[in-house]
Amino acid sequence: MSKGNRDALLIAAKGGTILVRIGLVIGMIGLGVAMAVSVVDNSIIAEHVKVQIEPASIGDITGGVVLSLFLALISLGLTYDFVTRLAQVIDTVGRGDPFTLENAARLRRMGWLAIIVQVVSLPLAMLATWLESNVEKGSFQLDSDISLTGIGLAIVLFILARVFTRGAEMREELEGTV
Amino acid sequence: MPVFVKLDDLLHARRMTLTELAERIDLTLANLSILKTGKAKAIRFSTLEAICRELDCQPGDLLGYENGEDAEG
Repeated sequence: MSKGNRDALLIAAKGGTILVRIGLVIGMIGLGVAMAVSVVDNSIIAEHVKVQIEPASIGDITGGVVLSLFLALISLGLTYDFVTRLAQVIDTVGRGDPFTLENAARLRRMGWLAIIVQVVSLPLAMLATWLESNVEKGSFQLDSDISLTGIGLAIVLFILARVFTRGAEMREELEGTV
Repeated sequence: MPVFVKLDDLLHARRMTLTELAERIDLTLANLSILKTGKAKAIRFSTLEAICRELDCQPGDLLGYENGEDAEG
């Protein structure tokens, strides 16, 4: 089945996964560098961020920033894994053999990754709120929230994983038919 | 499996090769070989029909059934 190889949607999706992964790697490198700089020399944070409420020292703020960067890094890493599995599923569609147990496992993993990203975004959102309320307004901004779309995506992926499992079973039955 | 395929005997009786039958019924040699060696899980009616047509036989001539317990006893 070579039709899949010429499918414009598959080609666009494959290109998209490559671009997204490049963006994620750049993002992860950026976050890693930012974390390292924040840990090694927090004078940059001290210069740009004014602590608004006295109990929160610049040390606390630095710790909060490093932790939020770390959580964002984990989130990007999980998203990278998600996009990699998606690229692998797209490859199998291109080869004309998508109904395999491997793809079902990939979709299940993608479902769990979508849930874990949501779980990680919860402490990140709490941390962002704490940081924003403790520094001068406008000097720190981080948007993070639990998204219903993300949970919905995970449910759809789990259902699709079951569809692919059944498809793989049917394909196996068909293989022994002459 | 208690159901077995007697394609070898039929081909021998008709003096026909497996390759020739595969060409006549438009099935790959590999698939016909799977059927002959009893490794097939299922057979399509269309395949059965084509084999019966070319070998001039009934489905019962091609397939046999042997109860596992009877065979042991």
